Amino acid sequence: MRPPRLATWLIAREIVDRRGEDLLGDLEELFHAHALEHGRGAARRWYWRQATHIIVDAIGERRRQPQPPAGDSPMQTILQDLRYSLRSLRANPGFTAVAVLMLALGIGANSTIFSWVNAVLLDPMPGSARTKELVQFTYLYKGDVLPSFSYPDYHDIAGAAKQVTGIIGTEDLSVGVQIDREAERAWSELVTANFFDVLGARIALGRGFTPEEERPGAPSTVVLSDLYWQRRFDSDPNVIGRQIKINSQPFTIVGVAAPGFFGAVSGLSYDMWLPIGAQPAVMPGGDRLTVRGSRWLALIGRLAPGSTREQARAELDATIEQMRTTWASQNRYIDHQAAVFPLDNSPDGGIAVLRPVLLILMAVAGIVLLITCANLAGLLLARASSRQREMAIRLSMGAGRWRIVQQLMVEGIVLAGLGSAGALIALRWTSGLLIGFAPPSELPIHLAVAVDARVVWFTALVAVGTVLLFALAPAAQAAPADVATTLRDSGSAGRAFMRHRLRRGLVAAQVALSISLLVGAGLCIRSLNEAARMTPGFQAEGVVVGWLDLFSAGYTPENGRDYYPRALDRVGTMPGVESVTLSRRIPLGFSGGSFSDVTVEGHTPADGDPQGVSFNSVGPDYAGTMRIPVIAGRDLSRDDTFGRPRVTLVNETMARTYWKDRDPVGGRVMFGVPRPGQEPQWWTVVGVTKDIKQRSLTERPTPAMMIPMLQSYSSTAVLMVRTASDQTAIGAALQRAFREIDPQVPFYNVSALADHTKAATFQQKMAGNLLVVFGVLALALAGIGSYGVLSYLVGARRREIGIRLAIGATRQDVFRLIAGNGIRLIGIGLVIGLLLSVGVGMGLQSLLIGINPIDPITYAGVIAVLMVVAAAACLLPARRAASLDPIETLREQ
Amino acid sequence: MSRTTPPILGEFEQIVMLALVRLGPEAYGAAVCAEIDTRSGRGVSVSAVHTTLERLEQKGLLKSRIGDPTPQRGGKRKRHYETTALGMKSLQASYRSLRSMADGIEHLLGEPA
Repeated sequence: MRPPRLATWLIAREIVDRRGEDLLGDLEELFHAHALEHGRGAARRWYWRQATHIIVDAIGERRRQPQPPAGDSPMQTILQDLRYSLRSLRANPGFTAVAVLMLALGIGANSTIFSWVNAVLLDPMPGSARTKELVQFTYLYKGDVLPSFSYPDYHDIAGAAKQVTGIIGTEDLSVGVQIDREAERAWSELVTANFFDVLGARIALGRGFTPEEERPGAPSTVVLSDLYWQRRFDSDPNVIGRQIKINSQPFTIVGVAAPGFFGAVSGLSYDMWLPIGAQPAVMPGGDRLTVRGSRWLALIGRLAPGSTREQARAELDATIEQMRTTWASQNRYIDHQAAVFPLDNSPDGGIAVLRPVLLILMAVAGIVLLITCANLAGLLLARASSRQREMAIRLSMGAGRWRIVQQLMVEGIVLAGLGSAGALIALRWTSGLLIGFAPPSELPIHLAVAVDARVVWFTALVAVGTVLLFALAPAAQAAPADVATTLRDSGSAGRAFMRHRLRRGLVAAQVALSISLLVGAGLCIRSLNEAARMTPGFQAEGVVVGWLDLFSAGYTPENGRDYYPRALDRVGTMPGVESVTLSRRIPLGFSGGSFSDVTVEGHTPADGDPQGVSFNSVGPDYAGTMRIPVIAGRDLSRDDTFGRPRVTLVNETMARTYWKDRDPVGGRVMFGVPRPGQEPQWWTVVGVTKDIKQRSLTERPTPAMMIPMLQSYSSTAVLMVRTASDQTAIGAALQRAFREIDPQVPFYNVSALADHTKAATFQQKMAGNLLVVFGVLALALAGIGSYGVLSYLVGARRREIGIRLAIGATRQDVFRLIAGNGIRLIGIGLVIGLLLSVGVGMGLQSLLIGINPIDPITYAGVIAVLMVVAAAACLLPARRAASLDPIETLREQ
Repeated sequence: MSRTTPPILGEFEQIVMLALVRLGPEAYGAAVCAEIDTRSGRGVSVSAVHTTLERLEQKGLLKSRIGDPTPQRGGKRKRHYETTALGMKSLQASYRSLRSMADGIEHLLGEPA
């Protein structure tokens, strides 16, 4: 037991003479005696009472002693400066409010974007240990990243890996869950048994998976996420051991993951994890675990201590080389190389989408802060010139030059402190705005942005940097060099001119920076416009989509193929439905696509052939429902079913690539290459459609095939309904209809197709929106800055203007003089800004759709906007100068 | 030390001196506090005791030496105090004046005559 530490520290602070040690010793000894006799609480109270006595006595003692000359300890001077600053800031509430507001905006912009960067890039997998060590393994095939591996690949790679402490394999799967007869959809990850161990994710209740559970046929187990456990089981601690049905198969709950762990894909939040051994039971398409050609797992490894990403890559390369030799007879892994990515630069998933936008925004926020600093520095300089006499008086009274600089710096720190406080308060709200940019998606998007210690530290750091930027130069200039001159007259000569030059430079810089931001914003908006005008080749408006999962309802390919015609017939006759079709996936959604090599009858393979053909299986009347023009032949029909000749639609690019000037209609295609001894499966082209954008609006035209879903069964499908009536009403009617067809089949995620295709312009929208906000903010600051400088100029040159007018200058001359000054100032900023903008355009290039980085319309628009602002900023001061009364100005001095 | 008139002791000074005499040569701050506490039953400010000890030493009525640290003291050393000859004389003089002032009125002070 120790005496209260704070009390001891206070005593030691007071008693600095020789008595210190034995006094404290006595106190401690008596404290122990007291504690023994009266108990610990009493002893602590006694000790505090003694401490009070000692401090009071010591203060009394010091009072009686003659005072040493006024203490100049650094702490005291800073406190003194602090009091002085607060007083001077309170005396100028207008200036203080503007400065604090500007700083709050500038610092707040940075803190907000950083909180997003922090959540998305610095902590890409919350709930996992040391995410810096986690890397994603991928194949590199002819320059393209292939992020998926087969389960046999996983075994070979994990077995050979020495540079990692473990590798996990994972794949997400939307499943139907049945708990106590109640069915619902959930997102799961199929994972290898070492999943939780390698990620270092804690299990809050029960256990993770055992290696046995990775084997097919093992008892089926499931680990729930904390959120799902709360939502669906009301945080019931007795949930372990309960049975639930997942895709109609019984599973036993063995564990609940710790709160804050969401799964192995950044930005998504999964409901549950299933061991990979359950794949054949829960995933359509049969057992993939033994199929080397079936690539579906994402691989994430944890680097061993001391290993680098490059070593892991070299090792993976060696393993691939090994695999290539082993499987040479089957031509596997030809042209495959290894690529290993850090988690925050993963080539797929939400990070790949958000990373470029976030990095651009971080840079933009930095620019906004620079503008804020330039503006504030200008304000402080203006204040400094009006405080010249105050400073000169303080210098002449014996204040050190350094003391004055120090005091002005403290003033800056107070301003920045208030600004950051405002920024941190706003952050509680602004940090959450990120999720608002997320487009609707069938994926479980989860962008939790927490304001943690790192964000607060960043804010503090930015604030300190800001002070150095905006307060140092004015502070250094504040102390007048020639005290006597300054005191004698109001000092309008040389130094004021110098200071003025600095202010002009600051304003030009603001103009330049805000132009580059506006150009960036303009480019993004133009891209959005172009994207809106750029028809993706289909008409998303008026189409309602909903997902069907026959597999989770226990359908097999045999009985499932009858389901779709029934459903199409039923929906087709509903009131308000113009047409209905099916598709494996929706174009321009976040989900990827399928590619395959093809052989086209009568086409000799050549080097210039495309890497493969994108294919989709779609329902009858697909082109009609999506309003994709059919330029030759016919659309797919209800008669293209199993047992009838296999047919396909191809797009224009495919027709041109493989048939050149022959007629594609009637031509035949097969997937893969003909194998000796195998009857080739030909698909006959019945129609050619216009190209549509599949994955992004900027993609190059790619050959594509659309085969009838009624001829190639798919256990999951998107139902697409074109309607002229109210989409919500149709959605509800569809839900009812599907319940009547078969209540077991889930029909979910009913939404407007147009909402999903917006995902394609997500980056431009997010960057565009924020750039507009920042750009307008910057321009307003620059405008205010220019106006301020010109007004000051007019004020400082009153006498000169008065003389000019008195000796015969006309009012137009004066107007031209001042306006010319302003125009020159803004013109310099404009030229520099346009040069900067070229760089900004290059940086944004990856986000631009259909326009050049040096887009003339954007540049013209920005220049026009700037002209308006410049005119406003110059006109008022120039008018004021022109209307000066020469007699009065001359009499003033 | 030359022959000087022993200084008059204040009331608290007398109490501290008496405690020192009672405790003998090993007396130190905490022991003095404890002695006053048990004998007179009045709670005592450690600060006051220390200030007094210091003042008495400055007047030459006490002398002190640094002692050994003990664990109960958090490893801090004691300062032992001893009365000087002058101190003893002062105490005697003070006690004598107190006694003579009380002479004959003991019954009024609640003491046996």
